[in-house]
Amino acid sequence: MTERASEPVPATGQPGHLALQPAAPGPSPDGSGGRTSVAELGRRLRAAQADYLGAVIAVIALIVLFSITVPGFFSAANFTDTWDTYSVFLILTVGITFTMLGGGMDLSIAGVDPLAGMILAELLAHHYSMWLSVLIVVVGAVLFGICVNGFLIGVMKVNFFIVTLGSLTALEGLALQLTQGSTLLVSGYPFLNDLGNKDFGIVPLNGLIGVACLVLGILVLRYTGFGRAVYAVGGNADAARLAGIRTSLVTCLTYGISAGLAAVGGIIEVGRLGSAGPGTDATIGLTAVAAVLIGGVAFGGGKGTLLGSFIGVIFLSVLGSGLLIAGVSTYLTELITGVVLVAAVTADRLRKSRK
Amino acid sequence: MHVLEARGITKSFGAAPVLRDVDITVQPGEIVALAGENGSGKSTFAKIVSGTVAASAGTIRLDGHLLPAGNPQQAARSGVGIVPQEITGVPELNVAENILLPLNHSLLSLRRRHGQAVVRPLLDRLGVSADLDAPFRSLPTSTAVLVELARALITQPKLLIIDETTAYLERTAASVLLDVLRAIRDDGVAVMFISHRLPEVHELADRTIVLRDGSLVGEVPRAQSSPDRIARMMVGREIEVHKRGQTRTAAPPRLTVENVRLGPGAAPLSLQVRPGEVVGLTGLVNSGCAALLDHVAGARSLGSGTVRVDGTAITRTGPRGALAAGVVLLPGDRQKEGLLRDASMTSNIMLGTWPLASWASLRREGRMARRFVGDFGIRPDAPARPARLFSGGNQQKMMLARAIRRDPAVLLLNEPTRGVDVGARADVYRVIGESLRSGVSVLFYSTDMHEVIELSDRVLVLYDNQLAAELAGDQITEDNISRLMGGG
Repeated sequence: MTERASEPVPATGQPGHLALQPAAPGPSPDGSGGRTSVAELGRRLRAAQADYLGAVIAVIALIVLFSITVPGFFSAANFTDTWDTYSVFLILTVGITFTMLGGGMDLSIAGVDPLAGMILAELLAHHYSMWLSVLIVVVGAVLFGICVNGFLIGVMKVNFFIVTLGSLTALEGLALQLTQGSTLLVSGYPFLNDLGNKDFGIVPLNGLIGVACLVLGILVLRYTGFGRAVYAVGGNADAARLAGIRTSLVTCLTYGISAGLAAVGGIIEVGRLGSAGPGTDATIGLTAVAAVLIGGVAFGGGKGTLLGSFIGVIFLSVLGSGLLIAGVSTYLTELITGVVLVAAVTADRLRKSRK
Repeated sequence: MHVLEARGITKSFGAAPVLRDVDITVQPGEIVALAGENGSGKSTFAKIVSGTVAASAGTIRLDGHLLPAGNPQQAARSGVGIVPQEITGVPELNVAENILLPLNHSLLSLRRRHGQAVVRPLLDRLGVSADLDAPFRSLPTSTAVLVELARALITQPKLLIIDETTAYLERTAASVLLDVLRAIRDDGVAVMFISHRLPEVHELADRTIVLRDGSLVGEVPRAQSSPDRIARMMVGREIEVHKRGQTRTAAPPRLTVENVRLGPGAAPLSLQVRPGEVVGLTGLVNSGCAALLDHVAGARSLGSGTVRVDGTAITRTGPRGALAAGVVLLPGDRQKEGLLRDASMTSNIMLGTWPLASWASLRREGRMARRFVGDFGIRPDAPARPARLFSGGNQQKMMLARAIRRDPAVLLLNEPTRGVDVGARADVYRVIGESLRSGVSVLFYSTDMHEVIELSDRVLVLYDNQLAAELAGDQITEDNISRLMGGG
């Protein structure tokens, strides 16, 4: 290529533009790029394998390990149980993946999630209809995400960590103030109860909703202009803006999505417990971040997929359920989970940097 | 005895060879100029000698001792001082601390004493009167460069490398620097001077080594040197005499910029570009050229003046307003403002295609991008490969493909061939030429003098955020441009 170019450039056409030569006839566009050939499929599989291989191997190893060592782990009952327990976590992780792909992070989901449940309980206590209450809570959360987190981060350009940590603290305070620390009972709503507790065979209803959120998220990220824009904003916000993408709007929307999904999670929790209270684990946001990182999304955004986050969720849920059944104490479980998290992400980085 | 003895230096970044089997030696008390076009490998060679880049093959000896590859500390200890291409002083430290940075890493207390004893005389010698306690960030560029030079000299190097440092300087400041370099040479230091200001190279160098496309193409001793001769060797062919002034159709201007103030207190600037016309902007760094392009593209508004396309003023702010009017910018810093490093080549070319509320078909996107890969000669032809794995030239072609894909009426190019090898450069010029024939107006900024001279129908030289002169036809000469750039 360089040999060719270092030859004298023929002067053609326009005088005064000696360096500007007409096009060399390029390869004819025969449309072969349009079909997905077998080779193309194979290439995609290999690419996917490179992205997820580490996490998938870890998940399988963990399942094998627990199946051998922990009696009762490899059973339909535990499968349903684990899926049920971690469905809300999956929904939250889908939301936080959007913000992380867009170059941010939303820690406030751990505040939105319980508060959404409490507001739902309050609305029901004031005799609003259930459907209206659910709608108000979800729409309200989306608006909160867009107008508070999204506005401050996307428009005012305040650091996402500060903003979402601040709103997490504020929302926790608000929840305590609202309920004065007490728990609100919610009963007499069959739909909410089903949401928390109904199973279809081995498939829990809330697990289905979690998977529906995941699939919807994957479709949005892969097949809509907004999804592509999330990657662009996370990959290089300046470039995206220069290319005409409304970067502030995209950022706002990602925080709307994460808050909205956190509210959905909060509603499911209300159904599960039959009550709403401020006691939810505030580190759930950070654990969701860990799932996303295990799944290969880059800190700083622009790289990774929801499928990867899903694998991260499976990993953490298998780990949690295995330790639980094995009778490991909650304190020790936290210790192990923390160590495994760091080890998993480190191993993944090592594997990738070797390439 | 050689101070520097580089043998068989070879370097590739990815697949692109940057240096091929280069042998260079430098004697004490000699100024050797390294000349070559952008992307010829000059700076890479300097970085290999100073240890910031490891060579793929070859050896560097300093005073006969082998230097370990890619070890800047060892290179510095062995006597290599470098004034790098980019200003690298620590903004928050003061002048003395910056200069003493290479000496003491932990002995903060010694700085003040050193400052009095060593730094002042050194700065006096360089003709710098700046306060030793002044923070580096407060220095004007011309002084900052000399402070960087002082920092390189504080270790009393045997070999001093100056990489494009005069590019930041006005003519008078540059000539001060040249005098300083002569004095340093007379002290017995070997100086390697990298520049593409050919008159300077000719004036200063005892010997000029010319690199082209990564290979050493020749050496010219001072007695036989002339700017023309060096230029011919750099480009590898006779430089043609251009016939300009070809009458263009009296079409109404496509791009009109009126009364833009590029800096506070600067006189307003206006310009017009007709369809199929190329107007080149040039000036020193921070002369306002890049700011003007950013303003017209809506990237960073200067808050004054009007921009019209085909007579219609752009009222919407931001890049979206400019893009809607058909004004497309090729950003100057492709890593920072252009490339999605982890995204595929296809996504990079098609960035900005899809409205937020639309179905984005990956397949259609791939098909649309396909066309450009061939047309622009992007190599390797791997649409799904992340952009960061491509060479600089091919990344630049992706950026250009993204701009052309929008079917622009006005193309704004900021340093269209910065850090691009010679082959890719020809592709870039070819693509620009095709756009011109279809009636696109091109306004571009380049610090590469040859590029400005070769491409432009008219040249606007900016100095200190104002229009210094407009040159057309036979007025477009290297002498005129470099004189006006420096405010002459």
